[in-house]
Amino acid sequence: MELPSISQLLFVLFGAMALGCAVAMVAQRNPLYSAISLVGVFVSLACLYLTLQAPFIAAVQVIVYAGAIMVLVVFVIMLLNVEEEVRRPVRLHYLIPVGVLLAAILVGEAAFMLSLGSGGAARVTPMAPAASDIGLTASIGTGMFTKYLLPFEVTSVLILMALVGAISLARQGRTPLLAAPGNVSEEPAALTAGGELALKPGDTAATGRAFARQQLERGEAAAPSRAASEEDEG
Amino acid sequence: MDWLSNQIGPDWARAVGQLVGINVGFVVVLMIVAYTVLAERRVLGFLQGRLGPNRVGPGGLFQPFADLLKFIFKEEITPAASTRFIYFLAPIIAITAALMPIIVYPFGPEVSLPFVGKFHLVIARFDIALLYVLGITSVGVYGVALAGWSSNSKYSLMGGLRAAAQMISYELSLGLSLVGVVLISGTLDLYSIVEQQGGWFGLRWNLWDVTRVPQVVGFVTYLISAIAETNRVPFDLPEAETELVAGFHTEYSALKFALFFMAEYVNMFTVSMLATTLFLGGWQGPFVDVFPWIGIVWFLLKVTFFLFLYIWLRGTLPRFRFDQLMSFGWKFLLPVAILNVILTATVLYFRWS
Amino acid sequence: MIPLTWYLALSAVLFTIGVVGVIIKRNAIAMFMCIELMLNAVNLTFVAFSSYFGDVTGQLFVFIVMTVAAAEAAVGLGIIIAIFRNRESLDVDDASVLRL
Repeated sequence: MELPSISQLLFVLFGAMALGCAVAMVAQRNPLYSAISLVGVFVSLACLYLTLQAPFIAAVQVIVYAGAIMVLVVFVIMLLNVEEEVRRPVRLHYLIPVGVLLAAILVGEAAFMLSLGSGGAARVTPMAPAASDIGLTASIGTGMFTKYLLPFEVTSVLILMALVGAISLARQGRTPLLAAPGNVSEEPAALTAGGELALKPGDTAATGRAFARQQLERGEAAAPSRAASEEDEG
Repeated sequence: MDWLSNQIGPDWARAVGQLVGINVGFVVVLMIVAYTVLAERRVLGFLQGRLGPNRVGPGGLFQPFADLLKFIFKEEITPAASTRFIYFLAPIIAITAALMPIIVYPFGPEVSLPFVGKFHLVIARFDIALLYVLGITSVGVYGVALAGWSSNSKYSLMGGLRAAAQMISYELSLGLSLVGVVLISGTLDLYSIVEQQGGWFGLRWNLWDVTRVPQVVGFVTYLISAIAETNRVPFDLPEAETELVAGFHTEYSALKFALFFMAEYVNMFTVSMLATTLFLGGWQGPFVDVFPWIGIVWFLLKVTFFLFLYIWLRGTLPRFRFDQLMSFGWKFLLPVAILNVILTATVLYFRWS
Repeated sequence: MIPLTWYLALSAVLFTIGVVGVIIKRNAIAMFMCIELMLNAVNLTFVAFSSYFGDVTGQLFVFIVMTVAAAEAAVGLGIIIAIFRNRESLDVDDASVLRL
């Protein structure tokens, strides 16, 4: 067997890295380690895109997936302080062998179809071109703004929808989204028998206002008595 | 170079050339960073009415080596309850992400050496150089966030999350302020962007080139975003000593702290190099076509100006509060950067049609 | 040179690992990450075909898929945070019944 070429070496290297990080991601119990392994998968996939002469997609993969989406996931894991998965007996524990069996069937099907594709006499497996113009930024930009303009615009509307959705999901409490006259409720929050505020979950803003009002009333009630006591002392 | 490519093939010869370039660039960057640390201490001293360190060697010139020896011999204290793999991984990510972009910056025009032949003074020249720099900057956020988390102390966690949130917020305006330059240059390749800034006796820079669109707004936006991105004053709340006991690198000691420290200064250097390449003409200057090696001198002069600007700002300005910092980034700087893109695109459209 | 089937085989194996992860894992965020792995395996197939047949459509579709994945990440993690606020646990086995 002749010496493997540089491109074969690179494919084996990055492919092995991607597979290793993917298996590590599934096998890890600590979700932060899974997230870091997934970043490794993304970076190795970006290198594979580079070997496929798609530099723009490789750069966008690193910027969007490894640099934005996974940062968001890591932030969520840190904020929620997610712990390791405890090895307790799973209720549906027959799913694990079933899952592996189904995965094996999937791989077998894929291998069958791949061998069918490349073993046929009339069909020749195409080889990668040494250097191509397709992956350059200019050709992707040309395609995106002439022939595929509608998907591009629809994608931007989709991102706007996701933005609005994420912000509205992350809001806490019942603060009205638009403070217009007649929109802000001024009735005080519910009081228990002792006169203290009954805090209900999600009641932050209204409770805060009611608490401030209560303190103010108590301060005014205390101020004449303080002034009276100062007159007594002074 | 031809002899080498006859021996082992043109691809391997180019790889060897790039490897040599990477080593030279690595050593040069580390030397410049070491002396930037010294320069910062001296210049800050002069700004504050005192001398900086001037004992070690003539005028303090051997101070960086003394600092390096101190860092090597310090005791390594590892917090007991920390996740060890991430604790060791975070400074590695930080320093790697800081050093990787230097391969795309053009240091000079096409020069020729006696035994090597003609070559451009840039280590790697490819189509998406600017996107590569932005991508590596995005990955650099992990170093900070993981450092804060793995130290398992509340000061570090707060500092790490704040620093990471600040970095990802200002990455947006950083990228958008560069879009104006890409629009007027028509390419993402940094060497071509610098080449297009020749002319006018070497002073036709993107900053004040009125025949294309002068990128003044983009320059100011980029500068502010870059200072925020590298966590320097006035945006250094996450690592200020008086605020969070040195923030996300509180629990790091000795060599790992030295890695974070170096990563910050290399980031400063990288960002200054990007500013000179895109806005100030890179290696362009008077007499470059006559004597190409003087391009390096112009490049280093401009980068030194930016480093001095960083140190000057550190000695002069107070720092932002964190909510002021975030609202400034999202509510002021991002709309200004978008406005710059729209204005540049509109002017170019009317010029082309 | 590398035949196309190598890339397709790698993509199929990555996709399968993602499927196994979604079935096995109980943490909601881990399942989400395995879904992202499946999306990336499909991206690899698209880019491989685009490169071997010289058509830019594959890479454009990868761009759209990345954008959709980013939008899905934002909203999906928002939902996961909202569920965590109510239940104090990210275990999907606990969340399989519609109760508070």
